[in-house]
Amino acid sequence: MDEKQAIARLKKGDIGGLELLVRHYQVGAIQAAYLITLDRAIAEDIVQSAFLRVYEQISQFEESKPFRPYFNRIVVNAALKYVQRERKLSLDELLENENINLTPLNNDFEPAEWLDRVETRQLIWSILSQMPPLQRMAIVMRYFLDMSEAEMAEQMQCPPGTVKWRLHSAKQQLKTILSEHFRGKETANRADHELFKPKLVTEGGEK
Amino acid sequence: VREPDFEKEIKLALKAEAEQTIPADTDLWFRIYRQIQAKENIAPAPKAVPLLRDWRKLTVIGLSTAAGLAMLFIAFVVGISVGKIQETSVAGDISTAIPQPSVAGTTPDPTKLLAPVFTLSAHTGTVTAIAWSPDGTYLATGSADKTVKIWDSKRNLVKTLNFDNPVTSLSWSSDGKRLAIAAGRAFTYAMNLPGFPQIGYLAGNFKTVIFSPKGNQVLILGEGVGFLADEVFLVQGDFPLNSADSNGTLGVWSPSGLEFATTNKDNKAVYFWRASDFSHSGGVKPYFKLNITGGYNDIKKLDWSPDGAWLAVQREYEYQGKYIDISLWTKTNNTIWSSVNFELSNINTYKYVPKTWGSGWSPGSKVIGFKDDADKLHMLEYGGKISQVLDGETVKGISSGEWSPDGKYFGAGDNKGIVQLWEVNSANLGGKWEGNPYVGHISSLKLDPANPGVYRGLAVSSFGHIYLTAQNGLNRWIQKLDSTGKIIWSKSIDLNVLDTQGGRGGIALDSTGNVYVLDTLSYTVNKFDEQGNFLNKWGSKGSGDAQFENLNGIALDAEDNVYVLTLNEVKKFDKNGRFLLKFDKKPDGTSWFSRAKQVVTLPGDLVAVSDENSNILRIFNSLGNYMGELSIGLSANTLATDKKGNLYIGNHSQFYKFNPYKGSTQSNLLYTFGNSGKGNYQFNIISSVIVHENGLIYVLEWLPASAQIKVYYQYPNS
Repeated sequence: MDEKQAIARLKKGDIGGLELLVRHYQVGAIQAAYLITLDRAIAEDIVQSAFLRVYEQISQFEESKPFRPYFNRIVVNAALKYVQRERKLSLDELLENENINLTPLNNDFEPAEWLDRVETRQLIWSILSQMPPLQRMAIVMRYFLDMSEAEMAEQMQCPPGTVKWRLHSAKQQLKTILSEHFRGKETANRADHELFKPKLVTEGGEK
Repeated sequence: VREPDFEKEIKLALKAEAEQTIPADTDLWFRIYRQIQAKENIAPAPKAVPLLRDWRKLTVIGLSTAAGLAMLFIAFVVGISVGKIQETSVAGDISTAIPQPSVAGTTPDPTKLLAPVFTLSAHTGTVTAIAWSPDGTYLATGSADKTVKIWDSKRNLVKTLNFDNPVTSLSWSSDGKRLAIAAGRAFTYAMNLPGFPQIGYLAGNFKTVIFSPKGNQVLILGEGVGFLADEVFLVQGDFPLNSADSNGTLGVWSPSGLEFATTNKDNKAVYFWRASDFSHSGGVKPYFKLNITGGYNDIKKLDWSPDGAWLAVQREYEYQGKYIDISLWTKTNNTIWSSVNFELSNINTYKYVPKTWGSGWSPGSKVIGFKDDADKLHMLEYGGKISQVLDGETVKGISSGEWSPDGKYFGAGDNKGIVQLWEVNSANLGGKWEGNPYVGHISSLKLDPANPGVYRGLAVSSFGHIYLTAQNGLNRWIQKLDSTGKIIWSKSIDLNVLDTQGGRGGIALDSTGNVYVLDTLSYTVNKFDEQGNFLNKWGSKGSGDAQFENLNGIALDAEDNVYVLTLNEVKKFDKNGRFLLKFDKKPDGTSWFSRAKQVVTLPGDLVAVSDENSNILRIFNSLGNYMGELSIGLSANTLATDKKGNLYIGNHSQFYKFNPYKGSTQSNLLYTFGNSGKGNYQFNIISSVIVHENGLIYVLEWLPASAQIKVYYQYPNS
């Protein structure tokens, strides 16, 4: 049974169709929600609720369209709403926060020095995890869910240019901090940088 | 900075974090379903089994007391309905290729004999034995006139075999290729060869010959002697009892062929023997003796229930008249049998003179015929219900009887040598006795309603014991049930048994009854004995030989080697957890599996693996060499096999049976049934399927608070 048949069955009230959709999409969806909310239990709750919504509203779903983008939209939006509510930040505040620590690209930075390091991915994640939710959501949508910038713009309900800018600023921020980090390691004077407090760095990054 | 590399690192970082925190076997389905169930207030499945009403009537009219266990047992042995089977080849997607089958209309109900539809003037003396070949091709009749006659399904006499003594016993091998006969001496004939040549002969005075269910052994019994032999009667072992006792002439095999039971010389005790003990000569002892208490008892017949769970002992005794009863015995552990008694007949009303010719267990149900003093034929169901009383010329003098394998005919021989073929319950079953395939619902066992949980793992032992893994929040347990659904023991465990990807839910049994359970939290295989005592465990998280990145399924082969399935590899261990080998990658280094789902072992040292992302089964041999694939047109959520290697899949609310893998990628869908609902042939999300040695099908529905196991009989039984 493929996705279309599962949806057709679900539309007829056969819950077996939903099981197939759950089994097929749940892990990726929970992972995406987690990457935005940083909380596994919340991510599972969000995905669970999202599937319930699918169950209740499947009649409105057009069978000709692929299910994954439709479902990802529900999950990502729910995850973002949660984060905004949890942190009690308005969307404006989140957007303001997107500009923090934005510095010019350091062209002297040599990625070859760090890309092969074991802890690099943990370090990247530690930085991503501290980004403002909206900015992190953009990263997750682009690089985890493999959405195009056009799809992101549609989902985030903003012009494509804004999406491009958000991604650029997030990457810029990441690169800057990484380069500062490694330079900082050399001079041993940046260990107290606010963004390098996370446990992943203190536990695994320093030798 | 080179932008693509940087983006790749971000991707990898996200992926690594996501996969580390949310493993691939995370499963929310049960939570979601429970919530939908709560929202929609889905009622639990109906509890009543219609046949229980009959039993309640019996209590009202003051018959013998019977425990709830017996009540459930009645439901188990008596209930039968029939699903009509669709047969077709699979091409493309299965859900569109196969029409929904009908599951009503052609029920062969052995409680309703209509009338004899055919009469064979078979013999000149009393008919003493009747036996159909398992596939219904031939009917063999034996007589005191010292002949055995072989009939085809058009009632043509095909062959007459002549002997020096009256014929007392007939037995077909399970594959229908051999026929064993006791007529003083014992004989076997090759029924698959032209002219049916005699291939086995054993001198002596024997009353009973019985092929083992596996067809490779024959139990031969006479007064004071007993042998186990191969099909040409090369004796593998004799079993003289001690000097204080000696063999009787009644015997029966367990459906698994692992054991058999025999009576003693005065038919007051039953001895249990293990077939494996006969692999060496001499010194073979029974492992258990069952004394049938009561001075007037005389064992007249032994029957073993199709699931292996119950030995039924028919007794005759005299107390102001002749009476019979049946006592049921079941294994409480590997070596002890204990009784669950209930009487068969209404002794105050009916005074039966049992002739001890019965049907054995008629397919999926049970009816025994008895003659009374007035020569009436009474058809009795286990539990005591008199389903029919037949009188008149047609039943006078009946002396032997047997059900056809498809349950649609009852053959009855009389003392004048006549064999009548009675048609069962419906005149439109057709004029032949080779039946069409069907599936009959036997029982629905509701699982511990007082302790609702999500039931995922299912395993059934050779002796009908059912093992389950279940979870309710942080409470997790293993249960052992008898075949009526009664809990034998239930043990809390500290294992996460829920997250395995369905199918057997990470539980399997070895040949001695030990239980293997996967734990997806500690990445271990845990071994328990049949009492639920922890024995040992192995494994941890990782990519080493005896490590697992995740756990999806487990299966054991005939040698008790353990196959553990992860998302992308199968690892093989011996029964003590010693790593033997793994199969994961094609010769080109890419993985065989993208998201492996289920593993089963097949006859012929084969292993089949299903994949969530493909509609084929990949077949390997036990050394891990790739043998081929079988296209089945769907991704198998659950996967089971029978003794012939047929493949059974339960997906959501549908059930499918496919032919065995024979080297071709093309599969043949033998039948399918089921849709969403609460009926006997409907399912509410199948979480596991097991097919027992003699073809009984167990389907586990996990639905919390109304989880149940539905048991089916199928014809043919493999």
